[in-house]
Amino acid sequence: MKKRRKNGGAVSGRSVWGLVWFRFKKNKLAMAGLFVLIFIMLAVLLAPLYVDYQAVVSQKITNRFKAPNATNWFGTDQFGRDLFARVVYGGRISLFVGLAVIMLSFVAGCILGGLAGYFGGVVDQVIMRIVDMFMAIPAILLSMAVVAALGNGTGKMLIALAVAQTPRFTRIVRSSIMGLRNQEFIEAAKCYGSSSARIIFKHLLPNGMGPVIVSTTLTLGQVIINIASLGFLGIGVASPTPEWGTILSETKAFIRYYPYLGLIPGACIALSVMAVNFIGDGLRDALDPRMKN
Amino acid sequence: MSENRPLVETRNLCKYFDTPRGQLHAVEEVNLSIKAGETLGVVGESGCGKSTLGRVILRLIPPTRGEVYYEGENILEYRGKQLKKMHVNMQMIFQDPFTSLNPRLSISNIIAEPMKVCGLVRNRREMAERVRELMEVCGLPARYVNTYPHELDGGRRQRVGLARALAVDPKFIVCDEPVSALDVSIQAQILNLLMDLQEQKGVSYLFITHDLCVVRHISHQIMVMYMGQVVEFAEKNELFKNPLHPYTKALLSAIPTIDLSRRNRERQLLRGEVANPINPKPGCRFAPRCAYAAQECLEPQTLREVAPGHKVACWRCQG
Repeated sequence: MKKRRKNGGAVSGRSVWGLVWFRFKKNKLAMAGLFVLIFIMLAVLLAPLYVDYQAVVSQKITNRFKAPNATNWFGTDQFGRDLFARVVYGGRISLFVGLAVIMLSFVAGCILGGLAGYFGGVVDQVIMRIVDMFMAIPAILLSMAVVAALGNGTGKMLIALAVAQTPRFTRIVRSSIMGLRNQEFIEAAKCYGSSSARIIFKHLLPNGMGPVIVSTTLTLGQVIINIASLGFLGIGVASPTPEWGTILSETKAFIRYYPYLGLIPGACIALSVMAVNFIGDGLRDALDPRMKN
Repeated sequence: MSENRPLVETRNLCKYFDTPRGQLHAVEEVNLSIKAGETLGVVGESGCGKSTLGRVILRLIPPTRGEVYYEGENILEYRGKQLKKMHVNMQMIFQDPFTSLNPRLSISNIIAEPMKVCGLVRNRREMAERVRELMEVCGLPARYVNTYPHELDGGRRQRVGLARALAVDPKFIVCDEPVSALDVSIQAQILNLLMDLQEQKGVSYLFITHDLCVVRHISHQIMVMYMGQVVEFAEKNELFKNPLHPYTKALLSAIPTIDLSRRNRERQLLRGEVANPINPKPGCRFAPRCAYAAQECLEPQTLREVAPGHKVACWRCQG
């Protein structure tokens, strides 16, 4: 971070990323989000160190619907399984598949939307009509179709969910690129012979990133719920493997009498989404040099 | 290079835009030539195709017809690696210093970008050296090296735009109204900077403007455009002393003056609007607003040399 900039030391300064971090640090909400996310990630990553996987799957019917207490911190579910263990292990899939899906669809959306927005014309027509076709199909149905084509498995489910989210990102990226591509600094870049890729990735995308980042981070919750829907349909994560969305959908019949069954995994999803969203907001502002230092 | 051979030349350059209502004739049959180290001023009211002309010459917009020569080579035929020769020799300065700089890049990166793209420097130290040198040439204090465009005022931004254009060491720069967005005091600074650079480096300019005082200050030769066509072309002093085309006369008489003795001089006020540039009729395009219009004006008017180096597209002007 403390690298000297390429000005040969004329003005001592931070590197570009050092500057971003400097601005990010000032955003309290974003820092809180970062800490919460790191905490949740460590908790789920290190789960095997403090929770036995047996507790996740072993059923004990006499022990069902125990309210949170000293031995079962989050209580137990309808099969007498420890909810804490299930939530901690469930987060591994929810969080990592969720984050991987939004990153994947973010990158794909940037490339497709960038191409469509920058070149316009035929390229735009072809890309956007395909995107329209994908958008016409409900996300879940589309994911199912992709899983049906690729086969079952977490990795394939990840791709399926990313394919379902990409059209939205493509649209957002395209529209923000189209607003920028006629700016004079793009003409200047063409003037000294910048390649199209360089114009898209160096000049257009960084300037059109704001709305895309916000939309990306808000999508995480939806993706986690979609994982559950796929699991419910027998694709992707199957019972008894825990996953936040799956836990929610499995226990939803009982939340009237045992609200903690819905509240706890729901709170985990909400907390992660909020944390990621705050980080996204902070990142958007930190990446924009026009924001006050 | 020999004295007489022009650095940049266009032949019958045309640019038509297809619009839903027909063809918009933005640039029509423009022939110009600029010698090394000289400035050609292009004047005309807004929408007359000045900027389009500049962009067509730099291949930012593909022309409909015609040729553009740089040192005798038709740059429109350049492909692949040949394009680099064009990119390092021909550059542009833009009108609006608030949109012509990428807001996400620092000043040093903006100036370094052309050098990176064209592969003109070998390492970071050399690049930093060049950036500092360019900033100094353009009158930018070194402390701005890590600032961002939004932190600078219009004049400084325009200097950054100039430094970026100079980064590849071009021999020809299209200046698209580079001072019209600036304060008058800053305008003079930028113009003088441009002229100093011309003296030091022998750069040629195609200087696009609607400001006649500016064009008088900086140009060697002046080209007056009306609706995409060149109506008059002459050496600077000749044009201001002896304007021949009715449009040029009207333009010159519209220059505000502080000379009280000329306060009640006769002004030639133009009435009416610029005619529709979509599918224009043959004949003089200025005729609908011209005080001297006659039957002959319905015939196409060609640019004729009426005096050495003075060309006019009006049948009434016989030198």
